[in-house]
Amino acid sequence: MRLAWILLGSLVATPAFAAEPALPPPAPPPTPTEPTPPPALPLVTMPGMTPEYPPQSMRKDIVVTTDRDRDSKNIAILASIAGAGAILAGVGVYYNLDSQDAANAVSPRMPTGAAWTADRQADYDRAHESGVKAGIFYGLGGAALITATVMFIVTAPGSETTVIHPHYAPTVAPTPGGAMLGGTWSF
Amino acid sequence: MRALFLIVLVAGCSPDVLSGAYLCGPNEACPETQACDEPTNSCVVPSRVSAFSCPSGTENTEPDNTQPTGTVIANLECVSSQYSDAGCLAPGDAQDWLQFTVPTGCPAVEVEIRISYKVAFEPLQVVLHDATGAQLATDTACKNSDPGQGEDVRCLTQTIISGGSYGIEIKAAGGDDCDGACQFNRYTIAVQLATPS
Repeated sequence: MRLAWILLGSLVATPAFAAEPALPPPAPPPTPTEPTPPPALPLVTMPGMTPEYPPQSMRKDIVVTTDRDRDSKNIAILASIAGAGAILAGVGVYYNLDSQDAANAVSPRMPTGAAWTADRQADYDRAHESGVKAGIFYGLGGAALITATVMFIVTAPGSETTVIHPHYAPTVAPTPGGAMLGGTWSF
Repeated sequence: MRALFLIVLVAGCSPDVLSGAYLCGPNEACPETQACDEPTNSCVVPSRVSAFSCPSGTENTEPDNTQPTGTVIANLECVSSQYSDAGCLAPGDAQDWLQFTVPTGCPAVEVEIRISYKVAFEPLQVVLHDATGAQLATDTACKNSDPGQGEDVRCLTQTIISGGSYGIEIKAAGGDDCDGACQFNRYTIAVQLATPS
């Protein structure tokens, strides 16, 4: 595996390696606030190879951003609140329909010729009571759903950003009749 | 579509009772937003409510508060056609009286009395008296009764004697008088002589 890295490095890093002598020396930090450069890596030593250059910092960092997963407890809490909200809203729908049914029973479009009886008064009262209950359960259910939504946003686990400062070290190994160029990278 | 559904849901919660859609129930019961219009016996918006009044002509027989001064039902036969009249117990009028005499020579005869009145006001009752003023019978629930809308009906059937004189008293039955605020009523009374079955 390491050999594969070496061969890959020899193919990819050749221009950088070739241009390496022309690279200007690392400039001093422009401001005191700039982060200090990472400590120098040890020279690469490989069996049969001769280290020729010290590890060099590459010009561009590798930034890896990873979204964290919600833990199961968070999911359970959110699901419980949202589920409770849905159930409460469902109960509200039940009372709303009951209220509507009772209201329709005592809301004729034309004169009925019938007397206002205790049964009709009971329907009238039920329409009001169920309407109030529907409002309460709608409110509770809506509050629970809004709470679940807000908690979903607030407790979002966010993402994790990892900055990798890669270094490489060119290697030259003599071979019969020539030399093999290679490189190793460290992060 | 969803908004319409929500509107339908919310709008359905409140009863919308048309003014005049219902007749007054017992004790002048009406929907909360309405009141009983006593002359028409209808539930209407409070601004259209009027006080109770007896229909025209129903008080012409006053005073008829005693058996001797009661309205006479004339020309009855052993098996008579039905006598029917509208009456009214106005506020402060405790009772109305009717009186009749059974023709002589009837082998067997009974009187059938039927009274219907508004359920909104104080219930009424009918009492049959003999010539001496003794009480013979009071009304009961009618068999196969079919009262009009917003009305109650009571019946009285009693075997009587040919040639006898009788009095019919119509008075308040008590209860359901709006705690004293609706001690009045309008009624229709029907009287008929028949052969007992």
